[in-house]
Amino acid sequence: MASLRDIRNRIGSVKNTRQITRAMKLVSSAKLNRATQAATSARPFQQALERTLKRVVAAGGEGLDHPLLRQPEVQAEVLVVIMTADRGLCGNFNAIINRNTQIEIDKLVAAGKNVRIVCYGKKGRQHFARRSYTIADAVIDLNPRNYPEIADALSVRLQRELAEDTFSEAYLAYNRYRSVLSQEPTFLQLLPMKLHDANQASAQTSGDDGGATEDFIFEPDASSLMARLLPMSLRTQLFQALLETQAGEQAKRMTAMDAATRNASDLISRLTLEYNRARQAAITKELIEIVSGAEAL
Amino acid sequence: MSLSVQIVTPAAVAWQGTVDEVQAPGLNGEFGALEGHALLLSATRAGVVTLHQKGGLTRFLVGRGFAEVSSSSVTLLVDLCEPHSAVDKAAAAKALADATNRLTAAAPDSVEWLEAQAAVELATARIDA
Repeated sequence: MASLRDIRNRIGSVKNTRQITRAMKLVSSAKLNRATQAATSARPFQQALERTLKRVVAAGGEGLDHPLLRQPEVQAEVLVVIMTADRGLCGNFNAIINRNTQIEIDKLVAAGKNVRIVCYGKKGRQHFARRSYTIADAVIDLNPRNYPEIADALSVRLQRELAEDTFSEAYLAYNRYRSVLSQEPTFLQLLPMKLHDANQASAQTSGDDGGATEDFIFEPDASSLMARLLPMSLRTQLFQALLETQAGEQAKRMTAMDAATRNASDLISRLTLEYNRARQAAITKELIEIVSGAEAL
Repeated sequence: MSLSVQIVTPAAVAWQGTVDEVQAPGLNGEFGALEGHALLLSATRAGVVTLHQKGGLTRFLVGRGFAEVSSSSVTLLVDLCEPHSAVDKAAAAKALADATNRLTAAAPDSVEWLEAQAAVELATARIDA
């Protein structure tokens, strides 16, 4: 049986751990607030952009052409952008996205494609470097304050590399943020952009939206509007993914640290009970010794 | 006579409210919109948006984007939006020089070139604001 001092030390160390996990929980819940706020206030732009894009597509029909839309003839080189957290201690947040992305990448490889990975966040890089996947490069230590610039840089880079034929398809892997308790690993095609999704959506919502089929005056024409809309839409998509990754990470960390704090409290109360029992036993033993010592005299 | 106006940037809704008239920098020149305007979807340059209200004028410097005009509302989708009074012309002059350098260095029609062009446009708009 553990000695009194052992138990006391153990209690002390668990208390320290609890203090840390509690602090981490508080920090991430504050960050989560900020992150969800940012994601929420970014939504109107995204929605309005989508609506505008829909209108232009509806007016321009299938005749619209743009480098970002062109289906490449050879589809061998594939770029996968994966967004994870920089740090751990956030439950299975990174594990889920890494595992899911790895499955998708293996599918692409099995289809005879050459996959290169661009990592946003340390944890993705760690995962894929260890399993000897080709990592084109990694952007780490992301600060939410720089998300607009990061999204900008990535979208410019993707457009440039597409123009230079460095890759023919690009995918984005990130955790879509649904709520504090649920994030969904998502693997979607970034480039070439798919417009038929927008078409379908407009067909579904045209009833309540109404505006999609009305006669807009386009200034300048639909295809030049398209040329401006598409890069903007790409950047917005990336920006949104960054925001959702941040929100998801903080949400996961908050719940994980909350659970850890609770576990630590349980452990402390169990240990305290054990400690008290051991102390009681020691006192009883001492008493018996004194009493039997006195009797012997 | 009123138009509901929203100026939306990627980060947030920068301004919304009701105005009498909007003037925005369209790609093909400045345009004004009053209530009852025809449906219009226009690309906009970086420049100054002027909102006419009862109390006077409110002016914003906006980045590139789009304007969606209907008979009762105007939505401006722009890269950035800052109050006219917050425009830093000295910084803009520096940015203009820098962007011009990048523009001359980049190959025409490359992504960098387009990006530098946008930066030149924004810096010029700030200086002219």
